[in-house]
Amino acid sequence: MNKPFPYSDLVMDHFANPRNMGEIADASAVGDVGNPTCGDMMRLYLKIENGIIVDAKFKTFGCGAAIASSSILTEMLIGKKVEDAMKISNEAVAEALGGLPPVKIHCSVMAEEAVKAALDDFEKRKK
Amino acid sequence: MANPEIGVIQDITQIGEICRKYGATFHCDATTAAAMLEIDIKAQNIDLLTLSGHNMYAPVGVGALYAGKQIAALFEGGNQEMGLRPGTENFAGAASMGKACELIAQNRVQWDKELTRLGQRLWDGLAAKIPFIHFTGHATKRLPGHVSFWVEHIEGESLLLLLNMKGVMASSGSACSSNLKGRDEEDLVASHVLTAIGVPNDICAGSITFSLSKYNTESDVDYVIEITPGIVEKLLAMSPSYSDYMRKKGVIR
Repeated sequence: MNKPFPYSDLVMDHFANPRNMGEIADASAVGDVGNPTCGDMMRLYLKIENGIIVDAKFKTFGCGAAIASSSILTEMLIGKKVEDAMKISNEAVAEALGGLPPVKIHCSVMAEEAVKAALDDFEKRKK
Repeated sequence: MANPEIGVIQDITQIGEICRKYGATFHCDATTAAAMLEIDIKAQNIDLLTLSGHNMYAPVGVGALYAGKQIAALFEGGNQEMGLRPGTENFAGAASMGKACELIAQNRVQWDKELTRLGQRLWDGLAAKIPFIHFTGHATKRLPGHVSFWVEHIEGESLLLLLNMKGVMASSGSACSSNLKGRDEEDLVASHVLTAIGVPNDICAGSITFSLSKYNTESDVDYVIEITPGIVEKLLAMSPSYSDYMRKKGVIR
């Protein structure tokens, strides 16, 4: 069948069956990036215990690639040390999804930014 | 003649009159309208008319330009088509387009009646079942069987993808799906049609168009009405802008 959307099977799987979609009521940190005006908005919730991300959830307003990037990002985050999470790059997110079309790279950039924003929030809350 | 994205029918007769009055050449793009609206080159003062095969039940790969005025050739080479377009003509395509025109002339009124009915059924069904839905374009001066809308808090490509997975083909004026095969993000632009009618960019992102054809049935329409609410619900549940809205309304904390 002709694929009308140039997405990998993995992107389609994460889009159709997003992992860890939702909110964490007692989150240790929340990262908000993007803006619905740009057609994209990603909100990442993290639960951090003893420097380790024990849970991650997301809510995303956006295209297939944005939802898939958010979904796989939560999988990459859970179980990671905060300092390792800090190093997650947009390339790593795109690669984990089996690649993204060039016009959709910004979705993986948004995922990277969401982690940074959430960890900034975590630092702020510590004070 | 009519806009493919929001279905609005232009007042071609009046535009033709204005063009005649000021001596302007009038080129009318009738690609989406040809299978549904009456075209009268003389009465509407149309100098040039563009038609596209696949929009009027002929195969893809063939189109036509009616030229009532002399035009210059864009390509040079062979003498085909009066020297206007070199290269061997697509005979099979042209013949099928001719046949399509013949069938349209015979059946258009009857097809339009059914398409208008189905379009209204789809419009009413979605209006009743989809929260935050906003229809675009004119309510009555629109192509038969054309329904276009956007849904607050939802992005168009996601909606399109989920419809597609359930076997429904629609199109989106979404910035995000405007040029998926482009080279970079610069190729993603909001629909100029929606921007022109004053729809903000974030909303353009949620725009969806259904254009029915004579091959669609009432059960197709009912299927769309049946599956779309669930898809919208799924995307609303995922949307941070929707949860912000619900929080503001005090519905959730």
